[in-house]
Amino acid sequence: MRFELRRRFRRLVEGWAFDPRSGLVSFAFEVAITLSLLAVAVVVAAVVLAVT
Amino acid sequence: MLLRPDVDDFRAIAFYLGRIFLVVAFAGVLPLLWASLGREWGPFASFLLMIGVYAVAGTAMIRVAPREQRLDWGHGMVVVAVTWLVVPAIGAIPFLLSDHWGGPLDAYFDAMSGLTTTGLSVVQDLDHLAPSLNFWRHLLHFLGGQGIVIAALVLFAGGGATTLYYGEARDDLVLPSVRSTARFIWSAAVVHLAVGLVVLGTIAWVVLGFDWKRSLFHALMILFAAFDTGGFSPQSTSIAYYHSAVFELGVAVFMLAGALSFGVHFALWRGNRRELFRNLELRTIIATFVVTMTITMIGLAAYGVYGELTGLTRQGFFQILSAHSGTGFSTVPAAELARWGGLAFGGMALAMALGGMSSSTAGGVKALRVGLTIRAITDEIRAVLLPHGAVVDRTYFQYRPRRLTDGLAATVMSSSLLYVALYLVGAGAGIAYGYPLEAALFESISAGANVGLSVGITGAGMPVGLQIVYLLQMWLGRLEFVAVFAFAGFLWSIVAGR
Amino acid sequence: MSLVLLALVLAVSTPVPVSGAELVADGAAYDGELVVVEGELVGDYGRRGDGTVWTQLNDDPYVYEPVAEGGPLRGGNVGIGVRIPAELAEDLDPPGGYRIRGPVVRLTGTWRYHDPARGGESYLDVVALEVVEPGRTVPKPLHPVALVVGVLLLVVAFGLWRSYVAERDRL
Repeated sequence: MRFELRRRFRRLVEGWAFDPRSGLVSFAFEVAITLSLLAVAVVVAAVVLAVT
Repeated sequence: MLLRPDVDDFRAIAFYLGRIFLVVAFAGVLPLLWASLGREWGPFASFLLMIGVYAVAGTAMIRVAPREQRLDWGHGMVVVAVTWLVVPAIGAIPFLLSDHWGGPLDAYFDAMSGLTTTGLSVVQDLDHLAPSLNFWRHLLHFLGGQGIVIAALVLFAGGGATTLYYGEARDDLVLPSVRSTARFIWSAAVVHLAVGLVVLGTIAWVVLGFDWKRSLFHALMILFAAFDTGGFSPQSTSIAYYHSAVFELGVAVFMLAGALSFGVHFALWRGNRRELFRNLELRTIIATFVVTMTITMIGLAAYGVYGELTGLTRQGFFQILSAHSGTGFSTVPAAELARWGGLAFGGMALAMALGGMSSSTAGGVKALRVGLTIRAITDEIRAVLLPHGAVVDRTYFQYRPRRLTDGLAATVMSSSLLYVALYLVGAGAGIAYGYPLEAALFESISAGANVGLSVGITGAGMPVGLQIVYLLQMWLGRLEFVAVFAFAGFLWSIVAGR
Repeated sequence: MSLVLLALVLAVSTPVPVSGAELVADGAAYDGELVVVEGELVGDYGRRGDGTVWTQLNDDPYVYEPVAEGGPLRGGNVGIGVRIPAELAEDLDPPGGYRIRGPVVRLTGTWRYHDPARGGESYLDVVALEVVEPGRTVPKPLHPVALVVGVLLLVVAFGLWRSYVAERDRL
């Protein structure tokens, strides 16, 4: 039973080939996308207020 | 001719369902631990009861089907449909025992809303709810979003895994095997949770001035709900509770991350910037985001709801991002949202209806279908305008160049139509109960697209019939119809099959 | 300091008594007005660097009849955001939450609706605070039956698991 669990756990961890640092890179991209959308929002809001 | 399912069919379904129940039973240990650390003994007992029921259901099923069974497409669909019906029924036990829900239906409604990452809620006196119960509500978002099915595959890998994966409405495999895809999905989630805890926890502690334990608590709850585009919040006033533009911006990053497909996550993870500019779905969602935001802002400015730049930008941006990503957080009370008439209502409703990207935790029609529908129509127009016999290039880019065939276009459009029908049927039910058209449509889209924004129809004491309609809408919308139809077919074959 | 401020404010206008529900339902109607609201402080005291404390004031039936003390369920909470000068919020009891009925206070302040200075937020800008009832702990039920049944079910599940393992190994 204990062996079984250990084997499962090893299978779970093995091949987890993703470097967590790439996670930070992807997070930086998400921040960049959010900020660009916010910048678009500022422009849209300014135009809308100027027109109405 | 319909074939009546035999014992082996039921065994195949039981084999996988049993394993899923056991996974959820183990997940239930987390709120149990939380309750014991916080000495919340009432919730502790109710979590123990819930885990017991999951464990008995799980072990009984695998006892019935001790051998691994071949799982065909239909079985996989039935497993998924039943999972999303029964897991919340058992997960509602702690809610029911907590004195914060009006009855079994209310408790089930919130558990279903949690698991389908919707975020509509009929909880009462949320501000005095035990933290461990709040944790369980939000953990349901995480379990449903990240796919309890995927967890089951990773832990108990076996045949038929791909079927379960497709049944869950994640159509794009970004990696060669289901197992490595599931691993990627979970590692992306874990990294986002870790980074988010640091970012939002620090903002809560330093900027908002909460004590550090409460900072971590709020950060974790909001992350579960944002990254899995759920929308539950630990306090009754949603994100307005925090009164902070910085915190809202932090939340916005994770709502956006939640609405991105795992294919895009994978591209970002590998620093593949080219994908960002070529991907049809990403281009579509950015376009629809800007369009719906513009419509909403024109409405807000015209009605004079927000008459100056910072207010219009901050409130418009946050509300639209929440609606479009299918999260359902808000910084304005439901009563105020209900008065966003005209274009502001139209923009919000459209954003909710379209929803996030496919193979993300967001609901709605999904940007890929929207993009392909638009492509199919423009291709049609180009074919008409070009000289007779000219060939229209029908390739589009989604991780690799693909061809938009007539068959694909037909499938895409019929799914989109089903969503529209789902929204309209729900709206009809709302109108039948005497709510005005706009409010009924808004709430129906919110349920069917798994968003969770409310204009005040959903709440304790709402009509029971309407509550059941919204329940079914959340279930159908989450599973993108197919699994539910397969389940209905399976039930019918029991009755009418030979 | 705050008393002087209050005296000044009171000299100009008399605060209007208002309920939290009215402020949530039609905030625009009270924009810029000096109002008095009574209710329970819940959630957290966000003590910020600028010398203010942000928290939430709930004005709903649970303030006076907590569910744990036998009060009925009467729908969702009704809460508004409040900004209190730090010196007024020094000795407050812990805010309301699980097993805690927070302090019930009477707040006098200006209702700011869609405040342009704060990016369109709505909140009560408090100038005077009076504690009406101190906070207290409230008991919560323990559910001993659920505990016992849960343990029994786990025992049953363990038995089923053992029997499953035996069956699987036999096959």
